[in-house]
Amino acid sequence: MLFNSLSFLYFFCVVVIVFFSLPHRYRWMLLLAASYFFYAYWKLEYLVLIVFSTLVDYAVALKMEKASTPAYKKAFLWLSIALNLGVLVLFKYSGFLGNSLATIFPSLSDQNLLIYNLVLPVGISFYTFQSMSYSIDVYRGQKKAEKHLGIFALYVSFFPQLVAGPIERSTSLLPQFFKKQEINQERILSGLSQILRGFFKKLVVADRLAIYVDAIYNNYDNHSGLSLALATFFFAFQIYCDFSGYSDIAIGSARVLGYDLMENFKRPYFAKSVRTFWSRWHISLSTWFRDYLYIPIGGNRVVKWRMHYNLMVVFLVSGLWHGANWTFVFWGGLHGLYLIFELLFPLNISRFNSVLGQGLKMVKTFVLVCLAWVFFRSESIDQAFEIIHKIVSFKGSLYFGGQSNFIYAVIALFLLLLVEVKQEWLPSKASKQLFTYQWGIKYLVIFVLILLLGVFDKGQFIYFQF
Amino acid sequence: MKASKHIEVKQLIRKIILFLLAFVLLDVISAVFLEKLLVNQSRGDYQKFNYLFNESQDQIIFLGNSRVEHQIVPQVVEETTGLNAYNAGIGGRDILFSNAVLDVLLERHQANYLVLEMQWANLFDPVKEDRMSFLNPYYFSNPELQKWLNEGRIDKHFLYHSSFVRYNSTLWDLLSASFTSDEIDRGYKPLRGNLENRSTVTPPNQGFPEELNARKVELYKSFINKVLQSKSQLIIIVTPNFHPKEIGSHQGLHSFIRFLKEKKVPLLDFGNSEEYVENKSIFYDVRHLNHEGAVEFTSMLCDSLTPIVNSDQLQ
Repeated sequence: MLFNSLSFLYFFCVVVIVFFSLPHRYRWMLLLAASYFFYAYWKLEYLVLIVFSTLVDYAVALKMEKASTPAYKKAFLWLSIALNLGVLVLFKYSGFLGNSLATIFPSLSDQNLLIYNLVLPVGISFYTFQSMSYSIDVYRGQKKAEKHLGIFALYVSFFPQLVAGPIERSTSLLPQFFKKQEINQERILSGLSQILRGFFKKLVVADRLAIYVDAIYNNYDNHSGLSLALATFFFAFQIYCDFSGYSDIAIGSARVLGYDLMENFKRPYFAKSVRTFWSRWHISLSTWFRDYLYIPIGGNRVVKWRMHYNLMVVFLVSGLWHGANWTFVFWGGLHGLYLIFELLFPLNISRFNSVLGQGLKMVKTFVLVCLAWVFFRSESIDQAFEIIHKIVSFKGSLYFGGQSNFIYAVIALFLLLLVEVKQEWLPSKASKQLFTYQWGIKYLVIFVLILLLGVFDKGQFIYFQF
Repeated sequence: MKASKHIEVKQLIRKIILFLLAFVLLDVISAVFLEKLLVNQSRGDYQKFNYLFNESQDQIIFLGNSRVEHQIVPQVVEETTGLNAYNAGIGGRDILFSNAVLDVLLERHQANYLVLEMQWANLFDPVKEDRMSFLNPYYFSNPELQKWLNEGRIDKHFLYHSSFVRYNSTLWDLLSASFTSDEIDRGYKPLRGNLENRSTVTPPNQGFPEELNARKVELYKSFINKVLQSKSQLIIIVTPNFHPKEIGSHQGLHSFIRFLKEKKVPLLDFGNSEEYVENKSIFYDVRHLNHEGAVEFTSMLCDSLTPIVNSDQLQ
């Protein structure tokens, strides 16, 4: 079920009303049933995978806790990792691996190489990572194995964050399901306002920019470098608003029900280095990789070259996590290189600390991130290089597409930047003023803007495919 | 404890109701302004459809996308055939849109001739549902459109009561139309310039895919059947291409052409006319003729239309 659909609106209203009408002990059942319904709305068969992942990690964690020796404990952990990653590889990467092998070893393509073209279940990368992190936490002793199968199943499938995160930790989310949630108007209203902000980002900004971006990137050989540069600039904000919009709706929906999800974005394009960009972009995934991959392979408590190697591994894996295509791997690798470069040549000279210097750092980071987005958005690495070649040649005239669409895109972007600049440099102290008439007027305006300028037929969120 | 919760719920419901009431009030006020803006359009696409849906008594109406809008000159048609003509083409739309417009036209005024432009490639393209929202402002004034816009869903019908929903993404078009300097004559928008000075020309597309889009075919057939059951006569035209495109032995396309023959719908196919193919001086881009090309083509089209018109008049 898509957040930006009427079905979700009805579904969510019913869930909220029934949730607060039920006694606490039955609420997990409602949320679990709602979450499975939410997921099965795409395809009933998808449920098999999520139930499989749930049962594996539930059983493995219990076994780990009872394991008599560390070796047994470790064996169960590896079983969990192997099964979770096995499902992911089978459904997400088998076609990619087969095709890549056939490209490297052409003789294999004649050998009836087993290439699956399975339908990729939405959100599989998100919930397998969430489920896997639980097993690792239990193995490390950071979390006791959950004995309540229903609550654990709810942790894996909780509908607000099921298909595109934030990827929650068991230590944070699981205990919340045991706590009785009371109706709290402040939480409900702040949750609803975050949902509205999410819809604004998705429908007014991301989907509007997408019209221009798609027109240019889907026909890149007929467009000038200038148009491609603008489309790349727009894409940077499209993907940000698409994904952070989803996160806002997820966090807001959970908050209405009384649950806290982690913040996933912190105005990433104001980052002054690629390192800080990654502390503001898709935070739940960055911290996941930090805790469950970077640190276990040595992190930064190793010699310099090894630390650089670790960083590169993390970013290549992160790229691959995003999609089964070399473009994503290249995108990840490029970010890894940026970080290594920043570590080798830090810009900590005093002249860069002026306002202008800070601004330049921000622009530099944004340009580097945009350069990497070209690979993310392109269908192949060759195509990405062609696009970059066209952009740097700076020839040709600017394509505007449909005049009104372009105007709406510019207005949407302007409004977004206005809000983000205010949040970054003039943060509101107004938690006390939250639910006044001013608050009402502000969200009424956002609501009207969504209805008046939103794109209602653009379809699903980009990150679902991951 | 319970009492304070009760008060909290009441306060919450009161705030939500207040919010919704403010929204409804704003919506009603905006509706007055937006409806006025729509009705008073003096230029642009909405003026075209205001005219078509409310005033048109034209005898020959051309329907289709930008290939009608920029390539059919009503003045030339009027001079040649002696029939009042109107160009109802609008860029980026497809047969789904034409079906909806047709329902309004057939209900209001049945023109003598309805001329539908199509390209063979249209039968393969996906249906452009996202382009239907242009008609949203006419949702209540032209109830024939409702089934096309609400897809038979009562909840969507309910949403159309909001003027913000009906006028979604139209504000700029409505506000800016009066300030544009586009030349428009009876719905025709000329394109000036040609391909001769362009360094690069979009290369031809590859051949047709194997399968027709079944829904598209269904929509074309539905359009044709509806016109055949009315008093209007249907003529289908294929306008010239810069790059020739042969249909060869494509089974799906031949089966569609057979359907037109069975229904006795005249098909005037200029898609690969020698006069136009790769003639850079009369094309604005590879998909559209410029004004000179449009005048020339409309004359050529009228040479084929006139015998049809004359034979009807004799009958």
